Amino acid sequence: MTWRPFRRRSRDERLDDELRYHVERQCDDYIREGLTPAEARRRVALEFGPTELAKDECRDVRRLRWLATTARDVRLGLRALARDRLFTLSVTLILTIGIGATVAMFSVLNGVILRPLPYSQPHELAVIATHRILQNQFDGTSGANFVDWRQQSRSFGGMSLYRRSSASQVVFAVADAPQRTQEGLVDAHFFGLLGATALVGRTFSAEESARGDRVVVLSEDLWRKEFGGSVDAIGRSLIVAGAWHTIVGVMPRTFQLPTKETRLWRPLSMMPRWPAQLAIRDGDQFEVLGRLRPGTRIGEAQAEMEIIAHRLRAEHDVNRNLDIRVTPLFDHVVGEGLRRGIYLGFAAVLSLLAIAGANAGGLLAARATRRRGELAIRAALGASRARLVRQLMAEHLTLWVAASSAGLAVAAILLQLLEWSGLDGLPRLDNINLDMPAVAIAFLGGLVVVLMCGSVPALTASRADAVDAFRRRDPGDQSRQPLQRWLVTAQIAGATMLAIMAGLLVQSFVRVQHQDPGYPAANLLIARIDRPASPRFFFEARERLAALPGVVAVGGITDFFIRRAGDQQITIEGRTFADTDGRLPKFVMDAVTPGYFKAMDITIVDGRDFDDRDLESGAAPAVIVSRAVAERFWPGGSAIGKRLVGGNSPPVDGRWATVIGVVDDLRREGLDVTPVLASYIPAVLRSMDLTIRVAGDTESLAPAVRRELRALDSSMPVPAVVTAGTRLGQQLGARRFQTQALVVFAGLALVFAAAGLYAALTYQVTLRRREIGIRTALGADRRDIVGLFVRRGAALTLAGTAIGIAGATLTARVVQSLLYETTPFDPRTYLAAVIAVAVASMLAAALPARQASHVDPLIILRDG
Amino acid sequence: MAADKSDLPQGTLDLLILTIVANEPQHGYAIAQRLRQMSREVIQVRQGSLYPALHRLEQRGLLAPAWRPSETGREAKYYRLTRAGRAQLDAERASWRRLTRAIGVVLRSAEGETS
Repeated sequence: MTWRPFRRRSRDERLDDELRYHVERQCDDYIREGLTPAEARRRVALEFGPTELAKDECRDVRRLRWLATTARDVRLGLRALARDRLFTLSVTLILTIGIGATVAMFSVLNGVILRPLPYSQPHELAVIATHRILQNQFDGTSGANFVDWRQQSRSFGGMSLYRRSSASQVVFAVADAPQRTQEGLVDAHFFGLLGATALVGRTFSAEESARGDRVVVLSEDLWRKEFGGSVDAIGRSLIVAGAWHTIVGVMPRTFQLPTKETRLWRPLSMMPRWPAQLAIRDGDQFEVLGRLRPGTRIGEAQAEMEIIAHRLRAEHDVNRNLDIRVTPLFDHVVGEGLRRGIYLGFAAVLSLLAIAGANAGGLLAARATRRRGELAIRAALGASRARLVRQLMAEHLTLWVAASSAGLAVAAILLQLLEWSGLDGLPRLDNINLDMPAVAIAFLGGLVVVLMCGSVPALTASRADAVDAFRRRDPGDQSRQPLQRWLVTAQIAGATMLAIMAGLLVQSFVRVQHQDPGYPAANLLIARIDRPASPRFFFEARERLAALPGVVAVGGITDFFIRRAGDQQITIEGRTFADTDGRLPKFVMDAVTPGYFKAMDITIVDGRDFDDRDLESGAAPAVIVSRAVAERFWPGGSAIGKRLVGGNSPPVDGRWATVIGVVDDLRREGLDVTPVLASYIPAVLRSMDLTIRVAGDTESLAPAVRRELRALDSSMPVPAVVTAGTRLGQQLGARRFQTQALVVFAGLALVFAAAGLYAALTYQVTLRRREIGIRTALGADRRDIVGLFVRRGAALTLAGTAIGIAGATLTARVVQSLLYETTPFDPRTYLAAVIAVAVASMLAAALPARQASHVDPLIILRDG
Repeated sequence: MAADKSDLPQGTLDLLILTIVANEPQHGYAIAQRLRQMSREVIQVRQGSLYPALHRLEQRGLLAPAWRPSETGREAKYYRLTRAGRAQLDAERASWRRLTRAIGVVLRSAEGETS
């Protein structure tokens, strides 16, 4: 081998050389002793063992060929996992649930909160709104105020004016079926300010806007539904608000301003009394969107707008109660409550993941200890520590990949469920999907959890050597297991916390749901009618519907479902109100038909209901007020006969409206809002919601109602007929979502914690069989043995629940804002949660304890 | 494997190897021969498993390798005891003596009890 100095031989070749030298020398020796070469070789092979095995072990020592051996380790790991099928299944399942829930919740968090709004430089966008100081409520902005804001402010690079979205319902028709939808009446800066471009075609130009051209931009949804998503739609016309408009473009689905329900946009110049509106100071027709100059902070803009508001208060009397609030567009789109709810959900799901991790960690640690003997023997036979660690890690990584992939699938299912549950009320819900960040979270989160819960037992186990393994035969030594004890305690603490929070939310939810809406929502149908041709339509409809079998009463109201704060000013005869700006807090004023209260089953607590005579043109103006109004303004006396009028001053013609009745409060505004000051005037409007009280099956009557109304007037938009209960349920969507999510998380956490305790105790029973056997042999009662383990379980449960309660009280403030008429320290909820945890724990402890009491004392004889 | 031959406990093999190379550097084959003689064929070492042990000791810095011509003239890998190896050998010898003495005491007293 003279060439050797010129070429560095690889380590493998060197190893070959070394082993071959040995084998050949031994062969030579045996031949010298008289064996034939073949016999010598066979004998050497027998003594030496497989050379490949020796080589492999040498390589392991060298930590060479790390990758090559990893494949084998994975195979070994898989085989070990396959042997322990129950173990593998439970660990994977636990981690899968933890990861799946986390990824689903993260997707919600990411889609709704983390991902920026789909507009250019969205952090610069802000809603600039009028705020009523004394009433502490937001209001629309007048045209003249907007003009001043735009001229005087320096913080904003641009402002856009659009019509108040609560007043932007419009009827449009493509074929002969008119429909109602939300429209955006926006000025020419609107799309440019947002940096939004049309999906197809274009948005309208400043010239078109100024000229008052009848042009319309459609939403992607409307375009797909009515025009099949055809590019030919551009240039075609449709009827909006009774006039033909030319379609110039389509906005993508992600464009959701002014509201996510907006289906078409027209120039602001299409609105009535334009541009005279811009000169009106005392008005609330508009909303304003602004783009901050680059580098300007929201606080600076707010400060500047306050100065402007102050100036306007001094200059204009009608502004004396008005301030300006600048809100980041994001906060406007995603409300505070929803944000908190999602953060809480995410925190809860992270706790669940931690519990799952602790649980899996406990199982892994127990298994590692159980395998100590096996590992020690392998170590004694020359397997390196690195090798053992690697094999254990391979097992864990296998678990990781399995749990993360399965977790992704679970998350996909959860998100699908979320979509099907149809939470209409949630903004940006369509923005939630399993994308790259979610996949990354699944695998990174899973990896972190698996590594954390896997590395500890892996390290301790690999340190085992033969002597250690023998010494560890003493079971008492293993039963201490401080790591496992901590893991179980942590799980119980987490489960307690989640159970308390879920309990608080459930209680809030129940309170909200059982909150009497002021009328029986069951058996009530709401049908929207929209500008029927005949002025007598209501009376005809009432007659026809009342004739339908099952219909009890029919009435009508301006808009049944609209959610709004009071926005109607009212003046009461002979009263001034020094606690406000001279005007009353705003009322909700609804025009209702005779029969409305009957259909709604609202009790007349004083006076009388409207009747058809109140509708006659010569009738004296009548008004019915809610109990809240009567109690506030005429406490202790009767409101009947008192006089008031809409508007901020007494009527010039002296036509006060007389209170003829008082009705019960109702919470039509949404269940978790306190009753508003409500007043009702009798009227039959051309567009309104019919309220139809039925007996029996509500759902099945809806088509009949729709048919009757269509038969009366086919030019009218197809009436939407819904049950009131369905809509009320949808209003609770966000609350139901967070409650359900937390209940599910808490339930899972409870199961995990109980399973963790069960596993830990069962494991201890196995380890201490010998000891138990001795105790039994020495006369210990079965009850003593049961008590031994139940006590241990109880101690862990006690520690865990104590920590959990402490944690819950610490986080009470965060939860508080999500609760409804429930204190975050509600003792009954705490008690119920603790009982639930205790019962689950005791059940989990009882089984292993029973198992322990059945240990046969003969075991000592058998197992030594 | 014959029934009267014991497996080497982990760590013992290392101790024997260190002892063998303590006087002068040896190659693997020579170590194997010495092991067989020293233990008078009582202790069974699968010869193949000698090499991982050698490599492990080398890895731990207790042995240093060198390639040089052997007594047959062919190149062989020789292992030499390093300074760390000598210290380790001394320590293990001492602890082995303590252990065997202690076990001896226990065994003798146990035999005394049973007889």
